[in-house]
Amino acid sequence: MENEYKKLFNSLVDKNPSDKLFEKIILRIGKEEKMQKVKRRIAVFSLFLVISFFGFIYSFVMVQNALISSGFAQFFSLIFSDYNIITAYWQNFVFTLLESLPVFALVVSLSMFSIVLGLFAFLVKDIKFISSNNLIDKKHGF
Amino acid sequence: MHQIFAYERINNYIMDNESDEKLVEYFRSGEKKALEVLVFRYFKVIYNFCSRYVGDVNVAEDITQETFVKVWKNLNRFDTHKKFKTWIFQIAKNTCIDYLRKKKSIPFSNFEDEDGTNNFVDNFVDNSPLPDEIFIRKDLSDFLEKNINELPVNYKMVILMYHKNEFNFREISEIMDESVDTIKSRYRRGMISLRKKLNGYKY
Repeated sequence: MENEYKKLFNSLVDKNPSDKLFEKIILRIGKEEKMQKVKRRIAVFSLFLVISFFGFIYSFVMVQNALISSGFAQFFSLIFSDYNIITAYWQNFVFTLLESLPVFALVVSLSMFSIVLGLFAFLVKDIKFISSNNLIDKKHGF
Repeated sequence: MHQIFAYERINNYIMDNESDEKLVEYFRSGEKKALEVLVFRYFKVIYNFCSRYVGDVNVAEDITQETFVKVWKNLNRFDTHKKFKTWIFQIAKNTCIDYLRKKKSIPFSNFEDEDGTNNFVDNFVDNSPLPDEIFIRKDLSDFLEKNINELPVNYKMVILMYHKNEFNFREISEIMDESVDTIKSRYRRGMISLRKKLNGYKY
């Protein structure tokens, strides 16, 4: 009886999948691997973005304080209060402004701002990648 | 350059002849090629399992892909003391069930009540030989496929896993997450039902 059933079921021909199924599977695994790396990157970049955002806020406050303490703010306000004198001695005025500019604080603040922008740009790109792949998966019913 | 190609060929040959469990260990130690060998070994048989389980060849490829993604995600957790073939079929079965749930299809036959008893099937086991006319049919494969597809899905899959995929009842019970007695009972009822269909057909 077992031999008969063996003979019977041996005649049951398996269907052949499409020629590209094997490649599709390997590519899909590769894509999932990339998605996993991107998700990890999003988590790390988000953390750095939060830290650098607070860093930027701190550096911005630092710049504000530095602008006041160096006298830059007061010199700059002369443009509005003593415009005629400024235009007469504009070269001296420019040098004074440059001398009182808190360069270090500005450089730090601008650097923090660039970092925040850069991290944000990377995050947006990675999030777009994840969302577009999730949409494709939803189409296929997974 | 030739040495590199020779190494690749030897490496591929060694991998192709390794057991599934050994390939899993190779994969864990960084050999990505090992996963490709496993995929190549199983993608056709998993495809056929899925297409028969869900009854739709059009989605079988997607389900097969999803199965192998799950295999890849969980490969580091696989216990190499167990059989890889049983494990991958378990994942395939669960993926098919997930698909059918999303589709809101009921995978169980209307003829099978909650106890698993089938009111339309006798307990009488027909041990007589199959009619010879069956084996001389030119369309035997389609004929058998059609009759098997008419069985409740749980009976159908047990029969196919036993006869086509060469699992024993204990392995099938692990895959289906049911007791061995339930599997044996389904096999028996399924074979009785199939025999009735094959014997009852007018040749």
